[in-house]
Amino acid sequence: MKDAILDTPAIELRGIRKTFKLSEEKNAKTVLALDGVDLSFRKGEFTTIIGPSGCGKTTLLRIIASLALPDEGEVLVDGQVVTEPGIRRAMVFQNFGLFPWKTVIDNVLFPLAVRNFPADEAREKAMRHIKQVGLEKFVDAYPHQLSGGMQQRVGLARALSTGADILLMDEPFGAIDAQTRELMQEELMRICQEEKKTVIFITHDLDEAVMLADRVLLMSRGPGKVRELIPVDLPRPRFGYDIRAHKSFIEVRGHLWHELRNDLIEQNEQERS
Amino acid sequence: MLDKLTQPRYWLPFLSLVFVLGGWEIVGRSINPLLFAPPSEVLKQFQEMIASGELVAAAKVTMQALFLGYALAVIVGIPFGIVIGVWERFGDILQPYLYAIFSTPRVVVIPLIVVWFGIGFEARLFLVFFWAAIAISVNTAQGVRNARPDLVEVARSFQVSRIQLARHVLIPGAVPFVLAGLRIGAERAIVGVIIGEMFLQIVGLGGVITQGSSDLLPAKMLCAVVVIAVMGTIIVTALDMLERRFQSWKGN
Amino acid sequence: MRTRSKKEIRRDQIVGVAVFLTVWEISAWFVGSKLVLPSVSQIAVAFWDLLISGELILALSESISLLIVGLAISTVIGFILGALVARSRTAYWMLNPYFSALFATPTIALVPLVLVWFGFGFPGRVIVVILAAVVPIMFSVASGLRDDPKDLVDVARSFGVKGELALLFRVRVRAALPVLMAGLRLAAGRGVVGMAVAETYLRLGGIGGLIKSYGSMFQTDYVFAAILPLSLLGITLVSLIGRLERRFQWS
Repeated sequence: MKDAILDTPAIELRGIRKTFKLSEEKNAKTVLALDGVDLSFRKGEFTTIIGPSGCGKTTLLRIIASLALPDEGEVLVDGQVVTEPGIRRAMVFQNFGLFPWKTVIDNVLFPLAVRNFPADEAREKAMRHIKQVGLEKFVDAYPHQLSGGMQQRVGLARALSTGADILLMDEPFGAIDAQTRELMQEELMRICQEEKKTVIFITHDLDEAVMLADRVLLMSRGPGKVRELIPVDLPRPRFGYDIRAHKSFIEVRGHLWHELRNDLIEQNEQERS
Repeated sequence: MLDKLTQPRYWLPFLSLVFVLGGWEIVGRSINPLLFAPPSEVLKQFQEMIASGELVAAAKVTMQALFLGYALAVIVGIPFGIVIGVWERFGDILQPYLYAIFSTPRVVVIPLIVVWFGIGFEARLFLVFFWAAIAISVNTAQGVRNARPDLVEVARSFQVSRIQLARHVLIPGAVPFVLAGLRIGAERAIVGVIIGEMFLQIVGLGGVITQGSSDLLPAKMLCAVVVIAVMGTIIVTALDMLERRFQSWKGN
Repeated sequence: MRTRSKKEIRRDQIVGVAVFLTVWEISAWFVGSKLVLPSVSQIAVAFWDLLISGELILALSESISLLIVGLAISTVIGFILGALVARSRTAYWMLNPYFSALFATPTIALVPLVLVWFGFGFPGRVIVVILAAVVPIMFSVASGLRDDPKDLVDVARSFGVKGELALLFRVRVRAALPVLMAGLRLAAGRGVVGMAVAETYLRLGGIGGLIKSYGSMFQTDYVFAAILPLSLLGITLVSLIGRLERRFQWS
């Protein structure tokens, strides 16, 4: 492994703390969503985040994207503190987030249009990414005409068209059927490897968490903290063989399952009392 | 083409129309002609009124107040709607009053209209304009306020400026509401002009009804009612089609 | 975009009312004519007079009974026709054009004819209300019943519910309730207009007639005083149905 000290991490989190108020009133109860998170993500690294519900995964990702601001702590992109969304980071949303009134091509063009890219260049770039996700035949379709898997591919193409090297993905394949999901996982890994993207990927699916990642970030249940960072030492590319039969896969997955199961049991007991 | 005509959706209404006209004719002939008119009588009256130019003149008068009032309502209503949609505080305070005015039947407001605007064109114009404008504003405001927050966040993640946000997210999202407002405003406008013509200065198509009533010519009244019904249906259908065209992205 | 809390909105609205009344009072003083713009106090006095003389109560009770009868009959007719149209394509194509035309015609345009045919008494006025209110009910019933809740029907059948009529009432109507309530709300609004129009046209009693009377005597303060309860009636009725509608919303 390369010496991390010589490369500035793509993303660094220092002391991130976030509290939510449960209602608008003055003395409302508060919930500590994130309790001091320190992390760094290397360039080109694929990190999956997994943890019980309510552990603050989505909050963390939104803070990394600067869609939410932490109460304490900083987010650094390439060594610079950021407080707003920027061109280096692109997000792929759980519910696709496509504009229903725009066609596929217009949705993918959106980030480029916003940046006043010259029209022809933008169109070429957008088409390239649409081809990359295999939707060239649906360029003029509206989102309502597409299946969930196709819509998410548009979301991915849109994120890719920004040219951002950091992809933030919030359970992107959660709403997609199992078979399409496998195809998309393959596609995603292929694209990310080709283009050397740094990816932070939230998932609920244990298999997915291990299969895609260079390392798995296991979060504890609320208040959110980094519980464990588990490296995944499986050879890439990962779709040419039966990964689930690989020894490392079974070990890591088993470990995760064990940890999460304990968490769930504890959570149930707490809720009952 | 002939093939299409044999579809039930075309010949059933036609058949029922034949029945209705037939029944109407039979019943009409046997009732006091001062109270009721069969279709043949209505048709005769219709031809007379066209020939004398009375019907066309009346329709013109009605359409003047209608179109001018509605146009004004759109020009004023949409920007005002955007204002009360964006400026939430103002919109929230104003809302109950707009709703109260909107829900009050215009017939009872006539005495006030007479005092303020007289009984002429301005009064009719106000009846059309004010209520249509409220419908358009309120619906536009709703459209502006109902911007999907999830899509706003998506746009934010791509670092949009405020203008870009309005252009790509807020306005397209508001269009269906604005169109609904335009349709409701048109319905209100039509009712408004007829009320004006029947309760203020007796002119236009509404006036033909009132005139027909005092002249004891039910055929005339029916003519006017039919013309008004047709006009109303055409306008509302046109706006409905417009609404649909701008929502092709919605699907079913 | 920070959404404002209900408390904040209420507070602003109350302040708004105070401001509104103050501005009105000042404007009325400025205009100086009871005919053109009576002051808030003058309207209040007129209202009080109407109240204690019993005129208002009498008029309101006439209007409300007209409205209730009209809406009740409209609901029954609307339901029957709507169910018919939902079940039979033939009925749909035969009836729909006429009811659409009725919906698009301002009620006021029909009033002279109706009153001539059916008389100026209560029956004639009820028919005006029915003509105004029946179509939204019919359309919403048709729409609600047309979307066949197959799953729910199967469940009901498996529990032994037999016969179309029983199925209709036990399952289909319940499933269609949200749409029905929306139609009822629209019908109530139109019904109030129908009621006002029928009463105002020939000064035929009720609150509409009352307003017209004072209007023709140019007593603007009384006109305002009488319009108030009418507006409140309409708004209250519609919002009550709206509340019911929300209670029945389970999708």
